[in-house]
Amino acid sequence: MKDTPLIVQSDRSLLLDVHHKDSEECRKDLIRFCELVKSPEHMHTYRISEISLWNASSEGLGGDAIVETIRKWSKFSPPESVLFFVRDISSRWGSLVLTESDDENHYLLTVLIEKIRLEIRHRKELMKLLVVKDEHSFLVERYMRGELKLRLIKLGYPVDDQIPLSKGPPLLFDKRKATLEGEPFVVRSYQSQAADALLGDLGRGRGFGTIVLPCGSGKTIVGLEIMSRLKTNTLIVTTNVVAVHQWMREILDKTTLTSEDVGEYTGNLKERKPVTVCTYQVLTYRKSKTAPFAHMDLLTKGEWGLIIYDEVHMLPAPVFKVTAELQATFRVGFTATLVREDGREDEVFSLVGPKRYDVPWIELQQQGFIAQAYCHEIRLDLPKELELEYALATKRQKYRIASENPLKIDVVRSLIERHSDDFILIIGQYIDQLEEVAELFELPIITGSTPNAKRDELYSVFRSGEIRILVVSKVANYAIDLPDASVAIQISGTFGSRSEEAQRLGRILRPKGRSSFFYSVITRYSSEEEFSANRQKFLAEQGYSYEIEVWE
Amino acid sequence: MSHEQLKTLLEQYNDEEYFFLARNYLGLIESPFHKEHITSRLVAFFALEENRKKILSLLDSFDQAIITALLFSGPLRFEQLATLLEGFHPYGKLLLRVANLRERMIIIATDKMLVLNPLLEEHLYRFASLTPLFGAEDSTIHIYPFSYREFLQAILTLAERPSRSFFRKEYETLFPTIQSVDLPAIFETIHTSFIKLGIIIEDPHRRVNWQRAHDLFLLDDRRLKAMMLSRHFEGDKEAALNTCCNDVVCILEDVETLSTSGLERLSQALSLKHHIKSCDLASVLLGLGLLVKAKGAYRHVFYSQNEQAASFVVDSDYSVSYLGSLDADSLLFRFAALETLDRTRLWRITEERLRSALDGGVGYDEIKAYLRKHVNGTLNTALVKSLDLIAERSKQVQIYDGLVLHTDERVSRIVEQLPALQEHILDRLSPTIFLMSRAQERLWRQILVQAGLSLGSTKGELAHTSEAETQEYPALDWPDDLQRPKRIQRTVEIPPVMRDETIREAIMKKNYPKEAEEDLLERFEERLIISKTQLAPQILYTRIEAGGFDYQGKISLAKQASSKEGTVVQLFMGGEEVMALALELTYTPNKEALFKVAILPQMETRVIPLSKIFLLRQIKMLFL
Repeated sequence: MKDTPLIVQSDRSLLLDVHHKDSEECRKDLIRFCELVKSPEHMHTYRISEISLWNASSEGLGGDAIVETIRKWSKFSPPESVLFFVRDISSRWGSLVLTESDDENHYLLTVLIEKIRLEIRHRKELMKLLVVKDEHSFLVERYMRGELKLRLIKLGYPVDDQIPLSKGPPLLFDKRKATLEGEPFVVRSYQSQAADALLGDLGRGRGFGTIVLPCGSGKTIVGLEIMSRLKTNTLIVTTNVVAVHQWMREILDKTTLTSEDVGEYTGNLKERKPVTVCTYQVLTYRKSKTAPFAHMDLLTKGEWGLIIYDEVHMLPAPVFKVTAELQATFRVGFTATLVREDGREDEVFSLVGPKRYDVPWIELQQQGFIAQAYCHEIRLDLPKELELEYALATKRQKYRIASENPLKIDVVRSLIERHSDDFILIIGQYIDQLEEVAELFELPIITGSTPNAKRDELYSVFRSGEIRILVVSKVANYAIDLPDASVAIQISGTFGSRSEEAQRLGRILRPKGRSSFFYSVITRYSSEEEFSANRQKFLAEQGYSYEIEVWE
Repeated sequence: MSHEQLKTLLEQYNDEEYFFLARNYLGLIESPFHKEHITSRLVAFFALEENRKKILSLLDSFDQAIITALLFSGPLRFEQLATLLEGFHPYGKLLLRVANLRERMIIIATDKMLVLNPLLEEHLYRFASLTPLFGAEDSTIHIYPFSYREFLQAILTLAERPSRSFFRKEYETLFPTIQSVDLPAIFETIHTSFIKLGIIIEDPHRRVNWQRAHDLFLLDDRRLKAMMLSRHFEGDKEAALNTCCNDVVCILEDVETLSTSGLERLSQALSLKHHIKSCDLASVLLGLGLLVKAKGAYRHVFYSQNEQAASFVVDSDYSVSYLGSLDADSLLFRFAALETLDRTRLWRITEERLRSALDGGVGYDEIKAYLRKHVNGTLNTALVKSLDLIAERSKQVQIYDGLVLHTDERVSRIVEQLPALQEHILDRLSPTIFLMSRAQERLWRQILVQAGLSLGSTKGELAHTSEAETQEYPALDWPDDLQRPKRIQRTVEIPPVMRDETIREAIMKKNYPKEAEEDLLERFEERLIISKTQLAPQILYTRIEAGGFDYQGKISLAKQASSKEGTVVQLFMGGEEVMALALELTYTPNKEALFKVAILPQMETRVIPLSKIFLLRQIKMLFL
């Protein structure tokens, strides 16, 4: 047994003892060929997957070098099956190569191994996309490039896509050294590293992928860094209009681009400018279920040199399909929570691109780049008069009764008093409940029905400090930047959604010189307890512990 | 002790055999009337270290196989030995070799049982080799980085998951070191063992008897494996079953890799040794996870007995990980769910498992104390609080054989108000105790669960204890005196036989009469002469045979053999050479002699014209 920080398991997971003196050095080696699965306080789990190995191969890190690294850091002799897997999977890289062909409508897929060629020829679903060119190669229509790569990777054959990404129309601008308000603007080291990880030397195999960073760690800045390195027309797709405005505000605040260059493409406004920010909603809008997507051509015919998918884990299905056709464009996906409740993470990462950068939440917290957050779960009883109603209700009704427990109001009141100096978000799922809270405490409220202008206004006054408490529905779950918020009180949520919990915590993670507090208020002895436990899983895996308080 | 044993054995020989051996080893015997003295001299001859060394130096690989079989199985009848060594050498050759070993006093045959010379037995272990008998050529074992106890504990924790099938596909990820194709059979076999040991009760819902599980897991790995195995053999002699299974576990460790035929042979050997009906040993051993099949051979699975786990790492996601093995009476598996059984064991403390532990009689304070003792550093306060609440909740509704006992007002209010429940309440004994209808327990339980209450099992179910629970199960305290059998080495290469040529030269130089010299040389070749002290001009080794054109000789020999029951003859007929028991000599009307024999070992009766027999030889085989 060596005094090293890594234990390699037979299921290809690698356990890193973060308290070991060499753990940081080891981590730097691991992220080149592993994915971070979870990072609680003591033992971080990484996993070797086909995709992670092929990413490493595409960057020149071969199977033998990976095996050597594993051996170097492993406390015990690593399982032979893992080393075999690494060598076997890594060796597949380079067997299928996609290049330009003489025909302007097609690309050329060259398959160097006979066995794979035979398999491809025998698979009808693949041959629908391909035309046999000669003994070793096939032609594929240009727009099927992504689809072909996706299908082949699912069969275990990665395609070495050597077609350089197209450079879009140039756009001359720079980052500012100081913001419009005169604050110095410096890109943090991890933000710069994330951009490096995506773009590399801009050679083949680079320029697309996903960046995973905690909420509040400044993914927008990473986006600006990438934009400023590529200096090309850019489309940014995000989750809602408020987030659109935030992006635009940040671009204007931190780059030399002007409002002439930056446009909004939403339900309200349809501007097409060199940098355009739009929502997923507008892209997938259509008049009827069978009608075409009215604005999808913004994505497909925009001659974009770069597409940024904000909160990429929310990518809706129609955009998946179009994304598959946009394989020639530089693209990046941002997310904090690598979980989709529909389990389609793999497809997202196959189409947008593999995970290029990930960093443990707690590490950024320790470095002060995101706020130190304390999570509490407050449990309280149902009022006696609701006990029978709850007992007789269906499962779904039970959850709602528990979520809308009227005694939660008292908890909210106490917490508001406890945090009399803090900026507070009261977040919930049920509008009636939120409206009751807003009315009772005379607080402003933002829900799905709040006009965008009103939302902007309320967020703005919250940011400016004119109001200290804001009641919000799930519309504020994602991509809303409220730098001063330091307390979140969650009074109800979407069943067991792990990403929602993390994103809600994320609203208060901007560093602000004080700690943040996240309260999840739930009804004791109800199904809310179970859902709550599931909701907390993702954050628990990032090292957050919930203190449980029972309020009698 | 062994001297006396040998004396006793020799005393059982008839005079013919006895004096053959005495004359061969001691030279001329002047008077046959002092057998006691002669026996002492014989014993002294074999006790002499020099002679013993010579006997052992003359062993060859054929001898080795026979000796190994007898060392492993203990005394056997020849037919049993022949069955065990089937495929090694033709039956006739084996018969002759056993006869030879008997003359070499390595094997003693009394009462038709073959036993090893007690003066040599201890020394023969150095020459015995498991591989030729049971093993495969390439020997590689399969290593799992956890103990067998942990493996069984991990499987047992899954038993409580609500599922008709004991195995579920999703379990594959929990055991990454084990081939997923093997897991269904492993679960099935272990399930069978658990049921037969009374640890799992399927009646009709699956339950675990944790007290018996606790007793089982107090056994060390060897005894644990043997106990699991013992339930697959048939037999009512518990002691024999125990010893047999103990032998199996030990021999797997010793032999490491078994060939397909070797495993069958092992099964036969065990059956012979312990007089119990064997099972489909291959399936059972594969199923218990004691063997894996790879590259055409069965490979022993080595479960690592790591050092005791120093401490647990409990993380914010309530995962518990550790290196090393847990104590025999570890509680972790009672309240945590398995995540991965590998080099690092990963468990997660879940509400479901904690409630199961509490429901199964583990005290909450015991669990907390256990965690505090084993966790590296301070126990996460959030975890403790969470566990406190689960423990508290588990006490809210307790069902005692038809009585609902609730501990707080909230539950009593619900019970009191639920309309559907009212018809099942027979009486309210106190504000918090309800007498419920036992016959409708299933219904009112359902109503309570639908109302959002979580219920544990019914305690103290005396009135309708199931048949499975009242059944008598084997004791789980394995006898302390059951030791590991003496180890037979896996592979021992026997060097070529080197006869002491000075003895041959001495025979030639002595100018013995020709017949005596030939007899001595023949005995020397047969490895019966090992010392010059044996040299004496006597004829002991005369072959009784007739062949070629000596038709009358053959008739005479056939008649003589047939007249004595159990006489073995060797017949050479054209290309055929068989061993047979002589039965009868008859004649055709044309006066042609017919020899009726029973061909060994099948005892197939054949009538052979004597003219067809080229050579007829009588063999002294008193061990048949």
